[in-house]
Amino acid sequence: MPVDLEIVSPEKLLLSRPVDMVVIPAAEGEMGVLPQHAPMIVLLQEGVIRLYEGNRVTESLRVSGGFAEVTPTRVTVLADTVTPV
Amino acid sequence: MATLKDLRVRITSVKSTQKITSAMKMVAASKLRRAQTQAEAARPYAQRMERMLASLGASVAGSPTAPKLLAGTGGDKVHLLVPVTGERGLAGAFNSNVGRLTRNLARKLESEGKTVKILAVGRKGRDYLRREIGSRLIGDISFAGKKTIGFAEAQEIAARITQLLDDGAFDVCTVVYNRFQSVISQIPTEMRLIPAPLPAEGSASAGGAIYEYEAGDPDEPDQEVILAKLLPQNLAIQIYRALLENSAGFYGAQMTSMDNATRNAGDMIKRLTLNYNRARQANITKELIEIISGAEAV
Repeated sequence: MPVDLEIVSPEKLLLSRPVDMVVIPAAEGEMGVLPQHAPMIVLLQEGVIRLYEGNRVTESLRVSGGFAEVTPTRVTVLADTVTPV
Repeated sequence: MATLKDLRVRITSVKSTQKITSAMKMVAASKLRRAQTQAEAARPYAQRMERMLASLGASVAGSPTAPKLLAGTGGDKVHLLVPVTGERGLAGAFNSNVGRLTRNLARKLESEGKTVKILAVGRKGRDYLRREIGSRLIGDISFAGKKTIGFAEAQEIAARITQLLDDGAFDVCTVVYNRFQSVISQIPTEMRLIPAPLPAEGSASAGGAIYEYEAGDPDEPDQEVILAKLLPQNLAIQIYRALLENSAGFYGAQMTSMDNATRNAGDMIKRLTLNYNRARQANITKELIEIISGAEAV
């Protein structure tokens, strides 16, 4: 069962698709989010968001900071700026 | 009575004016489309931010340590008005509507014994307010010469406002802008920024989930750390929205007013052409009479 990932910058919705796992650069260190994760709101530090589909990383995006909202079925990343790696 | 030549000259001049206004209308229409797309693209971020803010704000609201951006200074004495207008004119009453609303708001607040300060965004509003109530103007921000308005510009304004708040220069901040209702209708609206009106928790679609918070600072409660970051961002987002609606509305207003101008020019050309033909006919008739009466006299 995948988790719906959304990455949004102030200027536009950059990405919205289901992934198997996503690793986000939380303020306390990298955090892997699988489906059925407990609801959380975390602060992001500068780092790379990695999208896992199957066992492979299918996409990496660098963010300069922001916030992420995690619910059991959904991950929403509000990034300040996003650049593809 | 205008001579034939005068009329011809006027018709040509009205025709070239019509060409200009119809070109401006087309340009405004294409810029409007771009501005609308930009405004739509910005919406998802604002919606999601609102959702997060609703769940966070509720847990901090009322606490004495609530940040100033959320709770305000506690006072209600000094009001900062931020009118957002366009950089250019030829858009009907678009800019002066915001100017007038700001002026009336300022008068009303002052009659209630409050102090008003104005930070004007956009050249047209600044000029208008300088004429009307110049002494309240404490600064202005203008994006003249910038092609597109990005989030960076909104952040610049937000930083100015936050700076003023930290200096204790005002208690309540309200932005006045043209809300984009449709292409032909923009409604001058006031929106309070500080203290931030919190979206009701019930409106959040979080489904009542209880969140854990994590901000990586062991010395302070995580909620407050996140909120302290979220609020300035939210301020910038609100301003960004006002800027985008303003620019979409501006092109909408410009399009409608240029459409009217083109139509007016068309009517005028029709009237002038009628006059021109009448004058021409009158001339011909007069000449004929002269020839005939000349021939009869012989």
